[in-house]
Amino acid sequence: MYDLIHVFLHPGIVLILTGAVIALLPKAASRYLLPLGALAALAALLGTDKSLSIEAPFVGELKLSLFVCDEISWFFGLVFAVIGVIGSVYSMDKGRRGEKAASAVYAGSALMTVFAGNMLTFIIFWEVMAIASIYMVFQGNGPDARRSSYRYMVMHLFGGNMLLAGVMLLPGGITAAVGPVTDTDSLAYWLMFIGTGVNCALPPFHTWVADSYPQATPESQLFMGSYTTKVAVYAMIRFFAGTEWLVIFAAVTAVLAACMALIENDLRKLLSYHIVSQVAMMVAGLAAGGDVGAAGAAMHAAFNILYKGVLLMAAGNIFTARGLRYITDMGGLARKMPVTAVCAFIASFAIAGVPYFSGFASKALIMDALHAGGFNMSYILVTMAGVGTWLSITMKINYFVFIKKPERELPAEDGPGRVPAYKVLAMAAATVLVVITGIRPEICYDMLSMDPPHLFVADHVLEYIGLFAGATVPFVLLRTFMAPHEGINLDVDRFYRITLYRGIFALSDVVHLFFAKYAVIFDNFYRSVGDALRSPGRVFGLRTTDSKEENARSIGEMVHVMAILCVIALITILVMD
Amino acid sequence: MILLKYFMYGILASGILIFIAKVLLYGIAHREGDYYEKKYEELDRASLSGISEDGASVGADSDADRDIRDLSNIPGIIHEDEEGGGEDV
Repeated sequence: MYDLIHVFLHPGIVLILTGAVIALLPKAASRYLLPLGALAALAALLGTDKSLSIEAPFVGELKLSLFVCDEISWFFGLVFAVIGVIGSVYSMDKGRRGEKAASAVYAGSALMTVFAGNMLTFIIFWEVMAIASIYMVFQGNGPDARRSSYRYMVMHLFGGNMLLAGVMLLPGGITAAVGPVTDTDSLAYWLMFIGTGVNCALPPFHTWVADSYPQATPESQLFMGSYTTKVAVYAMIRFFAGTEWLVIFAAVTAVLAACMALIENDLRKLLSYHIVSQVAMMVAGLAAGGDVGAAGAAMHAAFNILYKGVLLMAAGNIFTARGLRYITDMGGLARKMPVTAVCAFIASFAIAGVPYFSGFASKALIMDALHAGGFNMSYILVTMAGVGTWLSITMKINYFVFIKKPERELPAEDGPGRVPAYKVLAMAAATVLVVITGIRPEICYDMLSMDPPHLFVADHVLEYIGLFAGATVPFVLLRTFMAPHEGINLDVDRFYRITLYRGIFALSDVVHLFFAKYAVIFDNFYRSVGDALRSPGRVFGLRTTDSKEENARSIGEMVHVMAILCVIALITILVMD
Repeated sequence: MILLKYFMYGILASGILIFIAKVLLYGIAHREGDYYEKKYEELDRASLSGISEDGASVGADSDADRDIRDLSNIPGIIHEDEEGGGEDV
C-alpha cells in the first residue's frame, strides 16, 4: 500500500535524495554528506521489515512497486548498502561534488533496482543507473574519459532499449512482475537477454568494462565495479536462472577474460577484465540452475564486490598517490605502500578462491551447481579460470607491482605521495570483511538459507592448495617471459570503434550542416540587431565570437552526439514503421 | 596423493593458460602507441583534405576542421579580416 513515509525511508530513495542534496549544497558539505547518506541508507535497510511491500502511484493506472523483498534481493541490497558506505568513505576527498552526487544516485538506483517488484520500476532505475554512471565516466581523467563516456553511453542506451523493448513484448508488459523469462522462442526473451547481457559484460558486449572503468576516477571505478555488473547478475538470476546453453558460453568467457587480464599492462584495466571473468563465473553458476546455482552466483557477486573493491581501492591508491597506472612503471611498492600491499595481498588470495578466503566459499557453490548439473566441461573451464585468476592477480600483481624491484627508476610522483587516511580506512574495512566472510562463510549461507557445503574438509582444501601450488610453478619458471609489455591490447571493440567513428561523424556532418545553417541565420540576426542598436552604420559588418564558441564546445559536443543518436533513433523508428 | 594429483592439474592448467595468453598477445597486442589515437588521427588528416588516399570521400572529420570548412562555405558570414580587405579563412 502507498505510504509516503515508507517511500522516503526506502534505502534507495535515501541515497537518491542524498545525491540531490549534494548537488544543491556547497562543495565542502558534500565531503561528509555522501558517507552520512550511505550510512542512513544502510540503517534504513536494516530497519526495514522484509515482509513490507511499498507501492507508489506513477502515471494513470500504472504503479511503481518500490519494495518487494526475498532472500536474494535482501542479500544483494545489504551488500550494495555496505559497499556504498565503504565507497563513500573512500570518496571523501574535497571537491568533485557532481561526481559524488552521481555516485549517490547511482548507488541508490542499484538498491531500487534489486528491490523493484515490477518491470516498470526495474527499467526506470536500471536507466537511472546508466545515466548516473555515464556522468561518472564523463567526469574522469581528461579527454580520453570523455570519449570513453560516449562509447559507454551508446552501449548502455542500446542495452537499456533492448531490455525495454523485450519487457514491452512480455505478456504482462511493463506491469509484469520481475520474474523468470523462459519462452526461448519469443522475441521478448532474446531482447531481454541482450539487454541484460550488455550490463553483464557478456561477449561481444564486454568491452565497455575495460574501455570505460579505467577512464573514470578511482573513486568512481570503485562504485561502478560494485554495482552495474552485479545488478545485471541479479537480473540474470531473476530472468534467466537455469538457462543451460549459457553455462558453457559463460565458462569460456571466464577463461578468455582471465587470459586478457594476464597480458594486460594497465593495472586498472587488468582489474576490469577480471570483473568480466568473475561475472562470467557467476553467470555459469546461475545458468546451471537450482537454488545452489542462484545462491552461488549471489554469494560470489557479494564477495566479489568486497575483494574486487579492495583491489580497485589499492590500484586507486597507487594512481592517486603516485600517478602510476601501468605495471611496467611499478615495482617494489610494498615498501613504499605497506598497508595497500597487505590489503591487496589478502584480496588477491580471496579472488583466486584460496581456502579460508572468501572466494573459496562462494566458488564452492558454483562448482557444486556445475557438478550437480553434469556440466563437466564447464566445471573444468571454471576451474581453469580460477587458475587464471591466481596467475593474473595473485601472482602477477603481487610480484610485478609490490615485490619485484622496479627495472627503471620510478617516475616522478604526480600525486601527493601519501594515501589519505580515509582511503586507507575504507580499504582496511573492506579487507576485514573479506577476512571475516572467508573464515565464517556460514553467515552468508544462513542469509541465503543454504546448507553449507563441506568446505573445509581436508580433501577439498588439499585439492585447491595443490592446484594453486602447481599453477605457481610455470609462473616462477617463466616469470621474465610473463613480464607485462607496453602498448595496448586490442579487443573486439576494434571492429566497431573505427567503423562507428566513421559512421557517426559522417552522419554528424549532415546533422551539423543542417543545424549550422540555421545557427548562422540566427547568429546573423542576433548580431545584426545588436550592431544596429549599438552602431547603425555597422549593420553589415559582422564579427565572429570565437572565444564564446570555444567555451561552449564541451557542452556542444555532448548535445551534438545526443542529436546524432536521436536522428538514428528517429530513422530506425521510421524504418520499423 | 590428492595434493600431487591437483599439483599436476595446476601445472597443466597454468601452462595452457600461459600458452593461450601468449597466442592472444601475439595476435592482439599493439606496441607502438595508442592504436585508436593513430587511427583517428589518420582519419582526421584524410578528412581535412576531404578525400582519402584511395580517392574516396571520408566522412570522419575533426570539429575544428568542420567549423572552418562549414562557416566559410555558408554565404552571409563576413569574417573580421574581410573588413580590412583580408582573405577568406
